[in-house]
Amino acid sequence: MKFSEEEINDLKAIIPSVSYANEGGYDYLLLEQLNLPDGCQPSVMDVLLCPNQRDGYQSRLFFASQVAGGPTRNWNGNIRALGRNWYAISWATSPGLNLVEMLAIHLKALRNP
Amino acid sequence: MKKNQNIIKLRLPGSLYQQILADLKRPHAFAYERVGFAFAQSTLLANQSWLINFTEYKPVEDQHYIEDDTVGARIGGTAIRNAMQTVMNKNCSGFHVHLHNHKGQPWPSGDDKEGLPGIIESLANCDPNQPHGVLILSKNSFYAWVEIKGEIQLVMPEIITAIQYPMVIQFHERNKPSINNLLSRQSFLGERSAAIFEHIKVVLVGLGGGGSHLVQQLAHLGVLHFTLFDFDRIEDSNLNRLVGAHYADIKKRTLKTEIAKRLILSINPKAEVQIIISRWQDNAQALQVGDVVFGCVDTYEDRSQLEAECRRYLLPYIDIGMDVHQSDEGFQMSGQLILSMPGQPCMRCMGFITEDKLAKEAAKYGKVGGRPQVIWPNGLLASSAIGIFTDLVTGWSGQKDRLVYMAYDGNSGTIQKHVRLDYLPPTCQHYDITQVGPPKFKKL
Repeated sequence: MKFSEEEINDLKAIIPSVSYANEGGYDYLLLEQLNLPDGCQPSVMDVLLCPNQRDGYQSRLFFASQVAGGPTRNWNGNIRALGRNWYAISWATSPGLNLVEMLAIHLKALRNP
Repeated sequence: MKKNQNIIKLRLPGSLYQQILADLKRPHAFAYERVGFAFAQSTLLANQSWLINFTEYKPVEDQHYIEDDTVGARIGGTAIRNAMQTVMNKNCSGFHVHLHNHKGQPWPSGDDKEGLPGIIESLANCDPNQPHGVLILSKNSFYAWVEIKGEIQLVMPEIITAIQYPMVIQFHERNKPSINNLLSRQSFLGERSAAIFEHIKVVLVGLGGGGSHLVQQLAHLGVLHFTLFDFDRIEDSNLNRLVGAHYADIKKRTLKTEIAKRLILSINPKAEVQIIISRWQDNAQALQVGDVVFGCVDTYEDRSQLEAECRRYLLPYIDIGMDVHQSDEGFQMSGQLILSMPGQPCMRCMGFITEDKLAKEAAKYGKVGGRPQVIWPNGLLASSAIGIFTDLVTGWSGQKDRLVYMAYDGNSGTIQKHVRLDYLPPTCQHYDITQVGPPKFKKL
């Protein structure tokens, strides 16, 4: 995984429980019990951040289940990775982001306008 | 020893199996045989069955043998303590391993029966929640005892397999299998072939044009245990290629799994067919407990996920698929048959699954529509896949360490070795043996 100690520490400042695994050549960061934006149901959830290019996206954020309470989104990712089933919104991020920026932009998809 | 009511399956990656065999064949200064310890990542399934997937082997060091002419090998306390330490450090299963240097199934000697349960007990004391045991190898077979928490006696696994081409497969049966008249014309596949087909569990994902051919041929071959995944029902546009489908099924909207089950049972009423009307991802343990997985799925993403799961649980994965494309020159029909063996280059190493293909597929999400499909390429690819499966589990052709990526050209009607096989990396670049078994995350 090509992320600096500093980036990882910044991420841990937001969510202390960060762990790493690789499968099929993809890096994954498991963020346990992440607080989701206001109004989301459930409000806390395990998420899996894939910081690599995947399925045509620069990065993807996978949720343990689909999230209600936010805007209507295109939940086009339904995958099994690392022994669990995960769900993702079709949500593009730019290249060159650090991990915190990546997470923040993905979570924007769940924020009500 | 007793046969466990629940299923215990032991799987060794081919490279590890070869490493163990080579190590145990080395002569020792005074011991008649060598000993090592193999370590496994074990998975307890919801039905209390265990999948024990070996990932590591440590030979007993020369200086840790004790000179004793009365037994084949006696090892000292340090060797056992080292193995215990590994079990404790890695929360893994530990197995005492030695070789009976002959062909055919090995059986524990009197010394084994007397001395080895104590070693298993020592390993179990380090992590009683994991299964531990003894694995005896011969030149071409296995024997094992496993201690499972809550079981009073040591138990024998249902099946032990080395995941290589061809596979080494051993069941708990002591009786020599017999080939009955139904399979007499395929006796050249080997005297154990009928028993292998009887015991092995095949999993099929996708029961459409490809999968329906596969189940038909597997049933004819003598395979008895099937797990079938498909949540789809037949439609009128499927009848042009779904083997076993009746016209009446269209009106009844029969499940494709039910059509496949009916077909299998019409060929062999003794077959045991488990049908699962869901995505395999929603019932993954039913896939993990198989011995060989066939994938007849529509997308690269589906294939990618299936392969990842199969790699994690040391399952050979056989993929078939075909497509018809239209260009300025007309219609082009192509397809592939791939055998993805854990430890060997994967479908990404082969260039069959790429980020570019996944991205294009994702961009077309929901716009796939009714793609052109016909019966004969599915039949040809399925027949070729059954040939690979048969050789993989019986080894009848004598080929070893075979890599399979066949390219089908439907316009010329040929199937041949894909050119990419000549440019593969020696080992898989995407799935490491350390990723076998339940996922382990590293805290950052």
